[in-house]
Amino acid sequence: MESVIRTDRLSRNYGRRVGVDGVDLEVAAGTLFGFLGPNGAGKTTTIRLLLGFLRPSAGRASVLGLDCWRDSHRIKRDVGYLPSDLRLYSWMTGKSALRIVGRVRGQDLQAEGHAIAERFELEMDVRVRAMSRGMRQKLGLVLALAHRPKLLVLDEPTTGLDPLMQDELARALTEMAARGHTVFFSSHTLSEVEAVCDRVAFVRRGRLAADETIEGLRQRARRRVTITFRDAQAAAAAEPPAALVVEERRDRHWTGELLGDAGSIREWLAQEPVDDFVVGPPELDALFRSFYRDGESTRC
Amino acid sequence: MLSGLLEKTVREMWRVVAFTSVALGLAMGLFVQILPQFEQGLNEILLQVPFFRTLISGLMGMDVSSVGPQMLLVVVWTHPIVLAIVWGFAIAFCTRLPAAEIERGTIDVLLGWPVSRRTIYLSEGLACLAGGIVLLSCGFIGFRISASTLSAELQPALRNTLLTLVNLFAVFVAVGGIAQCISSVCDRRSTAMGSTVTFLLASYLVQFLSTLWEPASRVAFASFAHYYQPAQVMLSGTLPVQNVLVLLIGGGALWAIGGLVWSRRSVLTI
Repeated sequence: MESVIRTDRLSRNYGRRVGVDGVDLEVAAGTLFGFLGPNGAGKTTTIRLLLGFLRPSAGRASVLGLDCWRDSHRIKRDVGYLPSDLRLYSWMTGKSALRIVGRVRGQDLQAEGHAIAERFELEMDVRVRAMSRGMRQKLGLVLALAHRPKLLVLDEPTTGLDPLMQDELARALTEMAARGHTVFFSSHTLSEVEAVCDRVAFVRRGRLAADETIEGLRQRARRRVTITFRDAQAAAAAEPPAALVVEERRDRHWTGELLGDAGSIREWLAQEPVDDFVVGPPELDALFRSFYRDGESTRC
Repeated sequence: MLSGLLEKTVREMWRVVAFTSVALGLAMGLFVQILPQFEQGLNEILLQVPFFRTLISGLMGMDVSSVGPQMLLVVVWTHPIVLAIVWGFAIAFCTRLPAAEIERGTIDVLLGWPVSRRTIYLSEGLACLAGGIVLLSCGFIGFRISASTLSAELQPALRNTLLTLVNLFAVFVAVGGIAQCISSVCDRRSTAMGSTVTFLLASYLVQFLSTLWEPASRVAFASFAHYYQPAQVMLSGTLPVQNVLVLLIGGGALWAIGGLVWSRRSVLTI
């Protein structure tokens, strides 16, 4: 499938400090791509490199086949962008913003813009200076989506949105992806990326720590397991398989973590005198945290 | 594309343009009425205090032995308040991009639009020139309306006033070019404005000292104020073409350098 975003050993330093270091990314068209990392990991720097705000110290980045630095303004014809710390012009209203951005883009954005505003329950007559944080975020989304961009770059887009609007945004993004648009969704919260995206990259200290599908992550993630043996004697005699890490043994009960899916211990279970077996959902949160522990090398 | 950017700039700047234009028109009109009243007292001071004569000569850009009513009308064009309004306007306008946009965080929105940095810069430059024309036109109108109330022999010729206006517009372009060039490397407007004002005052001081101190006269050519001589223009009615060209070319070159820096620099968040 055609790549919408491609970076090749992309690096950017701020003096001695590393912003991003040797990032290789490839995002295919129609993907809902999550870009995760803690604060200061390099997410925003990567986005600013992709949009041509920053010049790379080394490496290359291209969006829609065009060089991010040299062809920055051409790229933005087909890109919608919502910055993480959105600051709109205080004198703007939703209507005047749509008119001005429409003239800049050479497109009439009124109909689509008002439809999106209605979806997000945004009043378009209010000046930005009188808007709440959430309203400004909604206006930012309207301006990013109104021209139906091929690529949507969202940096912490749920900031200031209530849970209902977060759900609405997730639905809107899923619909866009279904129509073939690509979404680059940056966040430091795994749950919202997990709910929306089908692929995710983790960035840590400017380096890519992992890049794989949500399904792949689920298979790798640990699950809480509770096993109840027929009696305490059987529990004491049993030896756990490699995929099972037992943390606590009490009477005839074991609790611990399962690495991978339940299929990996099916055979072992069939041979043991087990009365009950409970497996929880994959704990992506724990996996996410593990990517950021000091000294860990989890590059996938 | 450009019309959208210009609309944005007009929405942001029309109040500033209107306010400063009215202020300049009023100030120049008022000085035309007030300054001739000081003729006698001023001449006495010029005779008694040679230093004051040097001071006035430095301000006017020519040697002044006595001050007549015509010369006092020239003072209107060099009055610190008039110059402060013109400089202030040029500095305020030309530090908007990129310094003010970065400082208030709106640069991300602006650069998210599908326009090249050069186009953004060009639209700001055009808006600034248009604003400067409105500003100086209002000053000119204030001056002419007020001067029309003076006796016929005191009224300066229209041609002479227009040529002085051209010289002042060239100063506006030069000051704007300096401010724009400094702004292109700054992330904060206060830094850009402060640096520009410091540079302009130092430059003005060099020109002023050149009438008092020989070493300063050797470097006075580097001062933009050296090329603004309203007294000569107003009294002789001839445009110092070379001076005007130096200001316009110098200002234009600095503006172009600023554009080059802006189109190549990385834009960080602050």
